[in-house]
Amino acid sequence: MSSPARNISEEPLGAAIPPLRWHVPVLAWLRRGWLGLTVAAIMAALVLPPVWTLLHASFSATQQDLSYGGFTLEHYRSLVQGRNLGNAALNSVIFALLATIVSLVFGGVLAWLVERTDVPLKGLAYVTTIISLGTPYILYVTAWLYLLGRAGPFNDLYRNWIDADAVPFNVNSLAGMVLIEGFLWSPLVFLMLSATFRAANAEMEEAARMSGASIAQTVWRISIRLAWPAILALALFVFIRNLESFEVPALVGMPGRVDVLTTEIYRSIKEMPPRLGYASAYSVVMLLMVAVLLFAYGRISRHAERYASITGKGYRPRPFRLGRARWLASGVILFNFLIVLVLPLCALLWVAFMPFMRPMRWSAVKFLTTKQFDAVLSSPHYLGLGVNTLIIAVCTATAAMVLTVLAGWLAARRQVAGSVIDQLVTVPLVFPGLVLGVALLELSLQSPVPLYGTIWLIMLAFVIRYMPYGMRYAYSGVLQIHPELEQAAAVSGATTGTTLRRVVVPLLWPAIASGWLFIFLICAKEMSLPLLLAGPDSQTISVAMFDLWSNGQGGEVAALGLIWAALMTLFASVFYAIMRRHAAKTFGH
Amino acid sequence: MVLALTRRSLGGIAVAALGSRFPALAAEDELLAGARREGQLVWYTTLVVGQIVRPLIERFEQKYPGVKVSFVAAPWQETALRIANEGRASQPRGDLFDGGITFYPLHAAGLVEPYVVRAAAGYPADFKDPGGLWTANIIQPSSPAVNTDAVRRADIPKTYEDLLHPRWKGRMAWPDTPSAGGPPGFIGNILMSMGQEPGMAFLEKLAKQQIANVPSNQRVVLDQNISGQYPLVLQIYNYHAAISAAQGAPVEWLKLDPTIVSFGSLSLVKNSPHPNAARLFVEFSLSEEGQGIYANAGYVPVHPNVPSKIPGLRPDDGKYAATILSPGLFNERQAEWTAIYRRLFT
Amino acid sequence: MLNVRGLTKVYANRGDGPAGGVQGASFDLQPATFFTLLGPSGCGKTTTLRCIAGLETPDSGSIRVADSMFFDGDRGISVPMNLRRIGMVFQSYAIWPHMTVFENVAFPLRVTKGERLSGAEITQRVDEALDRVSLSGFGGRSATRLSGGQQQRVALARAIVRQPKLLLLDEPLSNLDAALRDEMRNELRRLQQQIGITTVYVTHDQTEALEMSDQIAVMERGRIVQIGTPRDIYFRPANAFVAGFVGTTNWLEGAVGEVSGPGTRSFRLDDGRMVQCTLGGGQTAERGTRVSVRPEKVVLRRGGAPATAASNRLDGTVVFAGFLGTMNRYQVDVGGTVMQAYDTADAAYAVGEKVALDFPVADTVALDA
Repeated sequence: MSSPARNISEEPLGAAIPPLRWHVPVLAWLRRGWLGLTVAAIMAALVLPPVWTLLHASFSATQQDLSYGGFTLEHYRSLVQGRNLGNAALNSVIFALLATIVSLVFGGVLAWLVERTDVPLKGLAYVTTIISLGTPYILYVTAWLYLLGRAGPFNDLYRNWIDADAVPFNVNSLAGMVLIEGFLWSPLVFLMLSATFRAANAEMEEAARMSGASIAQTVWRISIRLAWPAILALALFVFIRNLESFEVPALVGMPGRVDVLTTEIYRSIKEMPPRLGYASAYSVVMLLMVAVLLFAYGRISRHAERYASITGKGYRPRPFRLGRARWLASGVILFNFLIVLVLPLCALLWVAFMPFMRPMRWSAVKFLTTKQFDAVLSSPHYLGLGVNTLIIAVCTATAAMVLTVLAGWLAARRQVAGSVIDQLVTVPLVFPGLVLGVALLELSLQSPVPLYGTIWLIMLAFVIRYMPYGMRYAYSGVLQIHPELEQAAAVSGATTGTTLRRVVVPLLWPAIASGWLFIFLICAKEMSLPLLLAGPDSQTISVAMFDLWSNGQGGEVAALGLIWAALMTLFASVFYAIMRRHAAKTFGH
Repeated sequence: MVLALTRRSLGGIAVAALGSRFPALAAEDELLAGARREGQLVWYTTLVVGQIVRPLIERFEQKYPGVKVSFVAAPWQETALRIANEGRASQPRGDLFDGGITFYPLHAAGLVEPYVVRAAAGYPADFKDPGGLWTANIIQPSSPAVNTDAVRRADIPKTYEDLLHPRWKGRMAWPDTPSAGGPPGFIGNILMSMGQEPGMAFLEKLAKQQIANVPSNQRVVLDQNISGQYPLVLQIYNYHAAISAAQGAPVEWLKLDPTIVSFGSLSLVKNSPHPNAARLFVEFSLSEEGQGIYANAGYVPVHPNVPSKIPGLRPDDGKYAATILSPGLFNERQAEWTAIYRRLFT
Repeated sequence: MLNVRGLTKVYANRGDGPAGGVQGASFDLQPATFFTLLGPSGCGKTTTLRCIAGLETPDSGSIRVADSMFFDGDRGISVPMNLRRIGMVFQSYAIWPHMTVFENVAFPLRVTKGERLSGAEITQRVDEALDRVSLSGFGGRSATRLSGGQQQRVALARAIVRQPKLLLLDEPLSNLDAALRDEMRNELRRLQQQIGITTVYVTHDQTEALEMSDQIAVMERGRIVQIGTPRDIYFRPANAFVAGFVGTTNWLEGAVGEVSGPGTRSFRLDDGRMVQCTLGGGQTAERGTRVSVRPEKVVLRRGGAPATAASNRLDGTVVFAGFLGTMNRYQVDVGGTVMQAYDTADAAYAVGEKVALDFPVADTVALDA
């Protein structure tokens, strides 16, 4: 054989290695980084102006005329010197932690059952999730307060049958807050983890089963570990969301005097003039905490690609056969259906069909009336509002998913600017709605493009507000795709854009569908932002709902809310069925 | 600031209003011509859209064809923030706004246009600003209410002192809103009617009753009363209770001496795009016809000639003693009262 | 054809496991060479491959294929991977589960810049590629409904469909079972020779490397320690690492002595006995402290017959004898050290028998410790 390779001549073996040169070809870097830099720039443009407002407000004195006063540390001082700070902080952490666990366990178990087993009634879990996501927030909380409240059916039953004077469950307690907040976010967990589990590599679970592991052992030691980065990211996300939420702590905790850190925030923005600075200061502190948590998460999930389960090898998830446990498992789905959907909906229906709030009793049935439904159905203006709302929700969900798929991919693949993007996208999670609204109000009034008072402004606000949610779906979705699937495309000659379009997006479809659905449904019912941003021609259904609710038209809100939720469910179901079919075609199952 | 309105004093004012009828007509024509030129107006409202905003607009547009009214409905904070930001950017979009306390931050920012409403010439002096900065459009008496299924007739409180009875401990609620219709208004009423020191002594005892602070509006608190959650609630609007009672709800509002009466008002936005149309609309809103629409929607009207739909809600026809808490007075003292609320009751 | 100069890519140590990376790797390949990067995991062989593919950006050095410079750290040249026109087969195959076999293979033709092929041309070239890997008629199948071996072939078809100048294979056989691996090994080599494509193959399996390659580069901790033909690598290892990593060998401890003939040196074993050896690994073995002798070069004798001049002799006692069908395997105690020897199946020695071990001087290679 000839010697096709000359032996190395310039650098003999074992010779001194030339000193390392950290020379990065700038052009190559730019070429690799243009997408990351572009997305980072877009994200910065979306997120940084509100951050500036947030910082500015947190350091400005509250003024009688609603303008920003001079520099002050007062807001931070009152944050630190708050009444009962220790107790409130402890309550906050307990509340956030337990509620996170409730959502994760509840939503997670459900997602696993639906995606990885042969449990019956799978459709019911989706119906439950979609309807409960489509139901306006205040209606949901109100229904729960009513159900678990002192005069609610549970306590009522107990009193009627067991002890006439007892109040066995006080909903206005930490336990009540944890339960309601937990139920509120379990659909998010369900949607996100079902995307994760759907893509899970069945071979790894099968290998464990073949090695003699029971189903429980397999789930604990394989399924959960494989989904670990996704679960961890999700838990962190829900935890932050809970820590920052002030609706449930206020509505549920305040009457029972359970104070958490955000209770004071709720009060401060209801004051005259609203102390936006105080709420902003808390958000700034939260922002720092989120940065630390994200950094920690980054370290933990550094080798997340190890967990990638959509590899280029055999990819055919097969469901577990539960055997006799199927019926137990379907019990879990039924329980979820009852607790998360049927009970609150019954309460709402009761309220909607009653001329005024009253306990659920047979004796009250004679008062049933369709007056509230008539009122809603005979008001033609709701149609216009509904169309506005649908346009906003569809556009927002689409824009947010497009942005966050790019962002999630850049972050998960540790591309140029990836970690910066990850941080930027997560920032809006801690914006108080009012602060974000005020920021956009100011900006849109100065903007050369006539945005103010249009539905585009509301959309912009929603995109910023819900990007973090889309990001979680996209990010954990990308983590599951083996990087070699993309590298193979690049080596085949595909540009980054083509790779994203032809390989990443199709494989990410289940996660994109879930994320889109979530954002769509949550936009369609979001109240706080449109209140501040909607103009005369860009009113939304949720503004109408809030208007009715805050003026005590409880029955009409319930009626409008139920009709709206039914429409949303219909819309979302059709959409989801299409997406599922698409995904099924993709993955051949 | 405690006064009992009588039929006699109101009647006198009404007669005075009639005298100025003729010049008003000419002015109205001028206003109407201006409004037609502008063609539209934008109303930033805190009122209920279906109940009052739409009926009012419908009638107005019928009466003045060619003047279109659009509106933006939002709670007072959002409304105030919005107008303040528009004003600071010198791009006012709204022409007029309503609400109780909404006026003060906007006045402080110099964004309110004074206008003396001719239709309100006969209104009691307490319900309008002499310079025309604001004019009341609805009266909001805040009272306690009991669930008549849950409370025996004999146990119903008759004075504020009765609220201290042990049977109410942990069974009362009020809306956690820092407004005249919430705890600060209640506290102000007690301090002004009982005197500072006895008032504080009473409030400290009341605080021991552990009133639930419900973070919602008056109507929600009333609903919780009706549903049996709290047998006794404080600081709800009496017209809400009266409307529900008329529909058969087991609820009764209480006249404790004195009752707090606050009100909502209308004001114009400075340099607004449609000043004439806005003025025309304010005139209509506060006229007998406009106020009749309010009354019909269940609100307590301000116009002395327009009675509320359910009689007995206003101090004058309900014959109860009232503390009239104007937004001005409330704005002046609210910091102090809110502080007492936060210290004792939260 | 492929020229790599001073290729360096160092990963910042992340505190867990080996730092990885490659330092100063250089080699030149003639067209149609089957070149293997061989080494244990973490030696930098995959990093080298990924730098050539463009999946990693080197810190410094240069990579050139034919006339086009892919990367030059000094001149700031770095061609994006999608413009390099090379074929690559990944360890995980990276078959896209959402496409059919045909679409998987057609993908490179569809996305390559500046090449607009008609539908018919694409079909023809994809069929040709599938034919080459014996997958004719599988085009319509869903990629997820294939066996491991078939997926491997799809990946290969996809890599060659553009008729690239360079084919990169990243441990493509490591996921197959033993029988399939043998089959694929032959087929890969056959295919490579048939289409005459320059191939860089990464593996940690020395048998694969020896059987398939024209040239092998053995890598250790980020450096190339030897480049040569399989024979060179096996019989003339450059250092102890290569000798130990590629095949089995006997180590005799001692010290290199004076020149004892043309190209030979004397070597004093620790117990004082002398043998002749050649120097491996260039001049650096001058002070070598051990010699390597491959077991199959050791011949057992029952004393008597003297060894030729070109061969060393050590006396010892058989301590183990095993019959493997094609040969006998012996372990012989030569005074404290146990040497292995493979001998023909018909030469039978019993345990405890006194024997003489003869091994050629040319195959007694002194190496660095």
